[in-house]
Amino acid sequence: MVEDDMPKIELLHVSKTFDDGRIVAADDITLSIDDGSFVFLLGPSGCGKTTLLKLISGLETPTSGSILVGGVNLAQRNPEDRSIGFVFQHFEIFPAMTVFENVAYGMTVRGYDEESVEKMAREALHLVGLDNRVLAYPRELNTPELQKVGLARAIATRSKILFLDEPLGKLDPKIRKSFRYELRRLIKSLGLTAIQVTHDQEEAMAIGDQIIVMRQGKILQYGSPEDLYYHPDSIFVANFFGETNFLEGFVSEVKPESCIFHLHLGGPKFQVNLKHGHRLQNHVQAIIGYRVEDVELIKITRDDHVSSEELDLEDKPTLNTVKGRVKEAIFIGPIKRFIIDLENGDRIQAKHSSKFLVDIYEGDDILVGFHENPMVFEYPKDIRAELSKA
Amino acid sequence: MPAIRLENITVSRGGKQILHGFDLEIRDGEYFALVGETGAGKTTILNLINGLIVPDEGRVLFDDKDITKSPVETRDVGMVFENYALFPHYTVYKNVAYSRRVKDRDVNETRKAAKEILSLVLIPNRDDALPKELSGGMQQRVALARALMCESGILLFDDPFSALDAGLRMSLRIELKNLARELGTTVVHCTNDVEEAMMVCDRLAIMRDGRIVQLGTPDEIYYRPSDLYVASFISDVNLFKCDVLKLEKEQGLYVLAHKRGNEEEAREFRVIAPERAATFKEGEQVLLCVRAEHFYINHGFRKKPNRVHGVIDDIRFLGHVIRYEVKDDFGRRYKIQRFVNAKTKYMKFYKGETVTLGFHYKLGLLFECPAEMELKQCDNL
Repeated sequence: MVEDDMPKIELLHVSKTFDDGRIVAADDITLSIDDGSFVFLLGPSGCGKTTLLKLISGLETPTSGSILVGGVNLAQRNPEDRSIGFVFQHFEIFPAMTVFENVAYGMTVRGYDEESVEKMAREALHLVGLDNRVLAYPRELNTPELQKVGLARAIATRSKILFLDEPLGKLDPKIRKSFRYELRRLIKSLGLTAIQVTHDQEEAMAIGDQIIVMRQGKILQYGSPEDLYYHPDSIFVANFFGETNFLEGFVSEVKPESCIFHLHLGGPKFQVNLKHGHRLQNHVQAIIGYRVEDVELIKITRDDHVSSEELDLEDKPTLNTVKGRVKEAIFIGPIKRFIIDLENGDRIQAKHSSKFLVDIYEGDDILVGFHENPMVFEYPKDIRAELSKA
Repeated sequence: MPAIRLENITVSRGGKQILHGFDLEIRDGEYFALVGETGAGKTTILNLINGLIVPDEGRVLFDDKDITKSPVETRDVGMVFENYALFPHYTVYKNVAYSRRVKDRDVNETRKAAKEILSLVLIPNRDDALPKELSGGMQQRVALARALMCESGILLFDDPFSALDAGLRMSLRIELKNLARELGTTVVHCTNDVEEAMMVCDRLAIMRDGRIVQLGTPDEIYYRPSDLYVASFISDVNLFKCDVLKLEKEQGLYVLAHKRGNEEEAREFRVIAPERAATFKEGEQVLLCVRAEHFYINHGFRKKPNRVHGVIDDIRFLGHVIRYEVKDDFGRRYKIQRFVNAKTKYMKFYKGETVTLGFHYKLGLLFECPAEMELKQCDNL
C-alpha cells in the first residue's frame, strides 16, 4: 500500500442498484477526487448522494465498477481501516462516557496502547478546541460541542480521509454559519481529504473546494463553486445554486458567438453573446438566465430620459433594457431586493447591496438592464423538472 | 383584525421559568416576527396566543378582550407548523374544510370558503389529492389554506419554511407576506432565520432566554442594534476594543484609539453615532463593531483612519457574495463580505495578498465593552 499518496479517490464506472436493478442509486459514475480536496455531494433527496458516500467509504459495495483509494481497490481494504474517519449528523456519542472516553473508545477497541490513546485523544480534542471539556459528559455540552466530540473522534486516529454526513444539520442557522468555517479551517489545517453530504447549497459553496451535483444516480456537474455558479451546464444546476431569473423566448440571427434573443409575449429583443461551440439553431425556443444580482435597475427621471451616469454607458454600450415597474422593494439587512413586473408580463427579481443607496421604491417605473452574457440554454423537454429542486 | 397583547406573563415548566414578567404588543394587521435560537421562548409565546398554554401569571388579550382563560377551540387561531401537520388520510379539500366541519357549519358555505381559500393559496384542482401525493411546498400551502379557514384573523407560523429548499422558501415567503397583507391578517411568525424574518415582517423581536433583546423594524434592528448579541445575530461582525480619545457631542463624532499587543502606534477610528452621543465619555473603553459586509477591501497598504491591514488568508465564493478572511500581523482574523455581480466580479483579490480594509464612519457600531470573559469568546479580539 502506498500510504503517502493514499487519499486520492477514483471511481471507475461505478454502478449500484437495489431491488434487483429496479432502483438505480448510482449510474455508471466515473470521477476522481484529489488529495487534500474538500468535496461536497449535493442533490435533491433520493439523487444517490448518500449511496455514493457509502460506496466511497466502503459501507456499500458497488454492483459493478471499481473504487480505488490511493491506487488500491477498496474491495481489498479492511473495512476497519483506521485511515478513514466518519462524522454523522446525529453525533452517535455515548451518553455515559466523558468527552475523553468517547474519543478514546474507538482507539482502545482497536488495540492501541494506553499511552498512544491518551496522547492522540488529547491532541484531537485540542485541535477541535475542547481542551477544557475533556472530563465533561455529553449532557453538559451544547450542540456545537457535541459535534466537535464527533469530529475529534473522527480525526483522533489521524485518518487521512474524512466522511461527513450533514455534520451541521442539527445546529441553529447562526451557529451553523460560523461553525462551518471552523470546520473548513480544521480540515484544511490537517490536510485531510474530505467528502461531505449536505442538502444546503450555500454551505457547499461556502466551504467546499469542489462540488458534485447529483440527480437520479448520475453526476450532473462536478466543479468548483465558481464554475458551477458562472458556468452551469444545465438549467437544473443554474437553478440549484443562487437565484436566477429565467426568461423564455426564441433566438434568431444565430452566429458562432452571438444571437438575438426574442423575449416571449412580444417582448423586446436582446443582444446575447454565446459560448463557442454552442448548439443553438435559428428560431428555436430557448431560455436565458440572469442572476438576480446582475439585473440593473435604472430610474426613469420625470422627463422620461435616462441619465447617462446611471446607465454607465461607457462600460456597457449595448445593455439590453426593458421597461418595468417595481412591484415590491424589500429591505433585508445587507441586501435590498426588488420584485419587478416587465412590460411583456414577465416578473423578475433583482438584488443589490444595501451599501449602495439605490433610490428606487415600490411603484416606480424603471428601466431594467440585462447584460449581454446571460446563461443560454436550449428549451428543455421538461421545464418543470429542470426547475424543481426536489 | 385583532391586536394581540401579552401582559406581565410568567410561564414555568418543570420548575424552570421560561418567561418572566413578559410584555408584548402586536398591532392589528401587523406581520410580526419572533426571532431567536432554539429555546429562546418563541414557541411558548405562540402557545400562549393559541391557548395551548395558560400562563401562571399575566393576561393575554385580543383587542382588549381578556382571553387568558379561553380554551383553544374558542380562540380559533390559525397555525402553520414546520412539518405541515396535515391529516395524512384526508384529501386536500377535507384537510382544509376540517376546522369548519367540526364546528357544524353549513356544508355549502364551508365548500365555498374552502374553494376560495384554495385558489388563493394557488392549489389548482388538487382537491382530491392526498398530502403524500404533493410536494413539500404544496403541502405547506395546504396547511396555510387550512390555517386561513380560522375566523379569528390571527395566523401563527412556527418555522413554516425550514423543511423546504432555499428557492421554494424564497418564493413562498414573498407570497405569504403578500397574502397576509391583502387579507389584513395579524401574523406572528417564529423563526431562527433572521433573514427570513426581515423579508416578511413589519416589525420583529430578537429573543434570548425568554426575553426580548430588541424590538423594531428590520431597518432599526440592522442599523441600530441594541447590543452585540443582536448585531452578531444578523451578520458576521469584526470587533475592536477601543479607548474614546475625543467626543464631539453635537455631531456624535467619536475619535477612537485601538491598540493591540506590543503595537507602538495606536490605530485611529472615527465613527459618527448621534444616537450614542450621550452614551460614552472621553477616556472610557468602548467596543467598535464593523459588519463583515460594511468593510470594503482594497489592494495594498494605505494608512488612514478607519483602516485595517492584513493578508488574505482564505477566499470563499458564495455566488453573489465573496467572503474573505484577512489575518493581521497579530494573528487576528477579520471577516469581509463583498457583494459581487456581473459588473464587479472582475475585481479580483488573491490569497496571500496584502490588503487594506476600511469602513464608512457612519457604519461603525458602538457598544459597551463587555467583560473579559465574554470578550475572549470573540475570535478577533
